[in-house]
Amino acid sequence: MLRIEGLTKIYGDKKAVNDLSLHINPGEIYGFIGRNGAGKTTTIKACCGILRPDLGEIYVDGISIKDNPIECKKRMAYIPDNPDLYEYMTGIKYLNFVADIFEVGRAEREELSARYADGLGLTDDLAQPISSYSHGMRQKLAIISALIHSPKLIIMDEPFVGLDPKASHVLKTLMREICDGGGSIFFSTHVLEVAEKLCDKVAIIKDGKLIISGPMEQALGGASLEEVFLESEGEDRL
Amino acid sequence: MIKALLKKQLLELLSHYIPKDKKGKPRRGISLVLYALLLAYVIFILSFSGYFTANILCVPLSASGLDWLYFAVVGIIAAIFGIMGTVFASQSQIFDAKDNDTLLAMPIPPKKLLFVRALSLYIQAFFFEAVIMIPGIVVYVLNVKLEVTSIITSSMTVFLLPVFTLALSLILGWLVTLVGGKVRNKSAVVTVLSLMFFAVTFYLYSKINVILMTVANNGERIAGKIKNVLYPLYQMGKGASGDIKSFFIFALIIAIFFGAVYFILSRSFILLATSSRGVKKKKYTAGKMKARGASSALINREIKRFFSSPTCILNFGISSIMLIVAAVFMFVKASSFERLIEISPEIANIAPAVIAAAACLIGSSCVYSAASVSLEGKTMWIIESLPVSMKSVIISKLKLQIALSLPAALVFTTAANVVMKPPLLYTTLTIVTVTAYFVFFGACGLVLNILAPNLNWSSEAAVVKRGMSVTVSIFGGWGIVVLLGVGYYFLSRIAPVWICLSACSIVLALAASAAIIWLMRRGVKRIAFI
Repeated sequence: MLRIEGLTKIYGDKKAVNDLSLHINPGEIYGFIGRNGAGKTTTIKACCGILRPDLGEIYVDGISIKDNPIECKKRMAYIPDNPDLYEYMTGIKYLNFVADIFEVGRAEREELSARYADGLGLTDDLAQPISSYSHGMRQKLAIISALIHSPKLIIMDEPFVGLDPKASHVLKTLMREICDGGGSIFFSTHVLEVAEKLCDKVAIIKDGKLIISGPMEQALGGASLEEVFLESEGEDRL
Repeated sequence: MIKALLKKQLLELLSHYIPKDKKGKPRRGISLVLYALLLAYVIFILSFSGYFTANILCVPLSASGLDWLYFAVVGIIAAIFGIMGTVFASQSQIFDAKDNDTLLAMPIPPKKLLFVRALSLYIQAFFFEAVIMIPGIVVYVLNVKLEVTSIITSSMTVFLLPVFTLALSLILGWLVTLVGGKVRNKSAVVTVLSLMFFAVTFYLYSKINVILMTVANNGERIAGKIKNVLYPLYQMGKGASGDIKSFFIFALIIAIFFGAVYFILSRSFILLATSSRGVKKKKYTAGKMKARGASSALINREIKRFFSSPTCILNFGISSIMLIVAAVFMFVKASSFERLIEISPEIANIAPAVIAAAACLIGSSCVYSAASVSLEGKTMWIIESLPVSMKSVIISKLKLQIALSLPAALVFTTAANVVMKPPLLYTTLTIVTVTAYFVFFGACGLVLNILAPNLNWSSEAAVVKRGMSVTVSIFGGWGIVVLLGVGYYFLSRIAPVWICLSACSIVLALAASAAIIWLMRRGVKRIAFI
């Protein structure tokens, strides 16, 4: 579903991402771990067509994001780490806007927005302007807007930040349901316990280079994800 | 503590006036020099108008022994300028400041925070008033007397008067915050209040010559009234003209007024700055969702963006309102224009060019497209991650720009043509020229904003009022109209009017096409990865 081949992104003289390759199959939840500044967000943004890679190729459902970004974007949804949304819209108007862009039918958008908003506990607030939303409410709205067009691939940057425990639980359940239905999820997180329990595969990035990737059991080799991650950080460990 | 807060406040104030690049870093080099030149130009124009106004009043009032009235009038004009410049800043920088919660969570007494914020506002009021007051003092010294006492007291008044303005702006800002907090559609309230304020100001400004001449010719009668009704103003004028006792009385009045305002506001500041002020929460009830196509959703998004922002409406919409007012004015004064054409029939020949130039000059403040990319700000990721072609995004921005500027310009052009009655061919060519100009102007604004976007702003005023592409668009638009006017003038000496008008429309249409081609070819690539 998502194939990253030799992705390299350079800022000035620093390689933010260095020759990174990953392959995410349909039905997989792929966790992306790394310390702050390791290159996670840069990789994610390049996958979503927001950032132009200096080298390498990214394919979504076999389509090159460089050659046909719109077709790729039609198949995916992106939730950033800090969802700045249109403050001049209400929650429901924002959902309607996203549904319009993805050409979601009226009945389908009504059904999906009601289902996900109820699940995440945002229904009562949908008539409020987004400017009055808390961080968690914005995060919930961004999640609903990502799901409203039933994407095949969801890319999320720190999706659990700001969510209340119930919404976190609902999101984890939804992620599993989506992947069980053949969708794929690629997300970054610092919550290693969640990644360990939820992900089928994991990748650890350090200084722009992928140092571990593969099925969770194989990557852990009997240890916990926290131990593996701290081990990978080597000399920086406290 | 005060020192640290003051440093933060001054840095914040300075950052409002320093142009930034798209990553939010201060611009350097040629763009900074150009910006400084532009600022110097604005200060010069304001000071010159202050000098000009003072010159009308100074000699006649002083000759009647009404020196104090001269300073009182200059003071009023300066205070109006100061209030115009600070009243909305008072709301956004003091009561609705983004870091209120952060600072009030620290062990900072609210009165100290209010004091520091008020000091920042005082500095802004001081600069607005100084450009009027200082030329007023210069005119007085040059025309009336060079006396140490009056120079000292009038100079001290330059520092004292902004305290009065500050107190008034604090009250008005407090009222706007209170009213805005009580209603759901805050931006509509702010827009209406601002339009009312600007309407009164424009009315007074349009009558300024009459007012000044009335003051100059009826000084003694007006002086008598002011002495009785506006006692502080009398003391201010008297003090500024060299009366030390009056100066201290005025200083005392200002100190008491400001002290009272500061005392009252500092007691309620924490409540005002942190409460949501009781807007009733509207509960969502699921209804039918309206589906529309992607292009229409994009245009709708631009419309919502524009009309949700009082800053956008006031800065970009005002010129369209002025064009409509000018169209009505043409009809109201139709008989005067008809008489003018009867007296000088040759005016009918230059009328089409003058009408087109007037429409373009007035409408050139409507530059939404020049800020539309920057206005995306931190939400740029949304449009970049959605499956929409950047061509549609650009077209939606351009369509709104043209919808905002062109209809009002055409209303004015049509009204002026109906009143001036040029031949039908001239009228048609004027309409074509104006249309070509506004398409070109809108496209150029968008080109500039794609080339120099600023997505890292904390207040949208930074891109709407002080954005590099907005400033260049406005002044560039005026410059192009002047250039075309010069070209028209020389061409009209050898060619008939219809050829001159056709030449203008062709040049503008070609330029508009070039700008649109750039947007569709290179603009789409640039905007995709801004």
